[in-house]
Amino acid sequence: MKADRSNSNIRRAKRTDRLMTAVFYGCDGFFLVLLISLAAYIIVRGIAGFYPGILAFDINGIGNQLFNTVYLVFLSLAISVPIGIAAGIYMAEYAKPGRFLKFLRISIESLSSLPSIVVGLFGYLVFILMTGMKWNLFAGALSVSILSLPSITSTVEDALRALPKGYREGSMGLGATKRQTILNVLLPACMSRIMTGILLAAGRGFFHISPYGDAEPCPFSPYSDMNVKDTSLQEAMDSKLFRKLQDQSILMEEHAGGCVLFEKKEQVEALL
Amino acid sequence: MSSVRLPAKSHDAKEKSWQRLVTFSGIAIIVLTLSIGAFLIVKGSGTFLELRHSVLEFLFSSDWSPSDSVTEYGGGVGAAVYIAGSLLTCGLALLIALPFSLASAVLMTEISPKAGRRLFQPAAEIFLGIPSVVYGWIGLTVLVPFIRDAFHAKMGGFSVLAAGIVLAVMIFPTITTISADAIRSVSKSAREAAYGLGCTRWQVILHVVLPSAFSGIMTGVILGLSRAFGEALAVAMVIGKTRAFPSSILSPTSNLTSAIAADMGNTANGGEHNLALWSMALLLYLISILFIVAVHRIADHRKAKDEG
Repeated sequence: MKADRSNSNIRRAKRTDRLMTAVFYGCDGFFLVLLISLAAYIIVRGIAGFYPGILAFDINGIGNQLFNTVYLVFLSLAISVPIGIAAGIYMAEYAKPGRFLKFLRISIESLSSLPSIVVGLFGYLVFILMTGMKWNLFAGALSVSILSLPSITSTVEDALRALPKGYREGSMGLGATKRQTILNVLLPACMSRIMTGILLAAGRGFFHISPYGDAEPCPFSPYSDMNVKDTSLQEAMDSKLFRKLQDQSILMEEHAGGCVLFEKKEQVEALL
Repeated sequence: MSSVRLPAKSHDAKEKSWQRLVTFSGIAIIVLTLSIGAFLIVKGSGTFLELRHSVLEFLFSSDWSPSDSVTEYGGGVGAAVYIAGSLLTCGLALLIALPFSLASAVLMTEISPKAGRRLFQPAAEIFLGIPSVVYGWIGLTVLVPFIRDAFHAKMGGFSVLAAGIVLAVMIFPTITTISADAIRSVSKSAREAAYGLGCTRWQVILHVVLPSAFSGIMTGVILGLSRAFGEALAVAMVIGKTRAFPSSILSPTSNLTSAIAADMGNTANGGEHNLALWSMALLLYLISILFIVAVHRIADHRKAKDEG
């Protein structure tokens, strides 16, 4: 009797085990298919939406947007990379463990978890309102550099800490100073890791530029919810409002990034 | 006869200024974080200190009718709809993503580590790096029409459900990778002991691995939530931006981030509407700080347990 029951218990346990294994594979298979189809969808639609002249620097092409995107990323990296690397070096090589380092670490963590919209508002307040500048690409780059600064700093710190001790000892043993060791031995040794971190940080900056997926996107534009559902990217760029905007050459006047649609609020409203 | 060359004096100066430079960069980050906090507190508290609205009104009232004039105040600043919208979409996203994330984390660590390393880890990392506008775009062009046709939703499919699904896809890689790390760090001997007692793999996972990895999984959940909470674009594109409590998960609503993104640009600086939006930004800031503190608490707790 007793043996029977324990046998059936074992059988049940084994059955549950097989069932749960199947459930795990099922769950994962489902998500993997979802992720792959997501990627396939983006690639296929992206290629299907391609037309000659898409990269042109005129009203039919996205040349200007693409150029601004790349320009913005480089500009923001030019600001955040030097500060990030220096701060990472400080944390890994100079800072003594204690309150200050812990505080710095918490600062970096909270900086990296801040909602991007909050950072955007801070940038808007400080770089636009308080300096009295108009909307411009440089203010955008400064805000984006705040977003990428924490990840660059912690990448550099981790990369430096991961280096074997022998690197430091060898270099110091040859008579190099701490600065020479860091600049000539440690940094080159972990360059590839740092580059990966910087590229990932650059990826984080991209989404700020075309917030609504529209042809002329702007997070602060009240006219951004164009009817782009059910249409291809090309059709959306051909929308009536966009055509009018382009014909009126509101978009083509001289401006350094920022939201023209918002700057010329009245003119855009008249078109609606 | 060779003489030992001592480092020149200029070397010392170089060392010093170099050290000053890197220290300054570290301090700059602290100053930046503190000043973001200070600016948000100053701007965000205006609603309560200058305009004399109560915090309770802001949090729990749904009367949102702030005036946009710099001289005239007296509208309502109840942000309850936006707060509820944020909470609902994030809750729904977590509800959808958590089972999948846990299953994936278990599969890639316990059941099929090879496929995990080769397939899931890289896939999860790629999807972590996709800009949120791409998720929003797919939500807008695929998910929203699908919800409209499948459930005959009002407002053409713009809904809490759409936002929840988009957020779930976005936080899935975060929760999965952090949970997988936590599961990997469960000690091997605990597993072996359980297997030695005759446990099946599922029993080991359920009774040994998941409980020991619990705090690490919580960290993943919190970081996922904080990403979902702060997400503006992808949500704004599919939530419908309607200022009303949703009657079901198929109805549209709005949330904190999309309200700030949509309205901040067209309010008068210093007006009631403007200040109320700053208060919402302050709320987002406080929530993200709260999440960070929670993660640290969990980590400290785990460390204490490991040592004690």
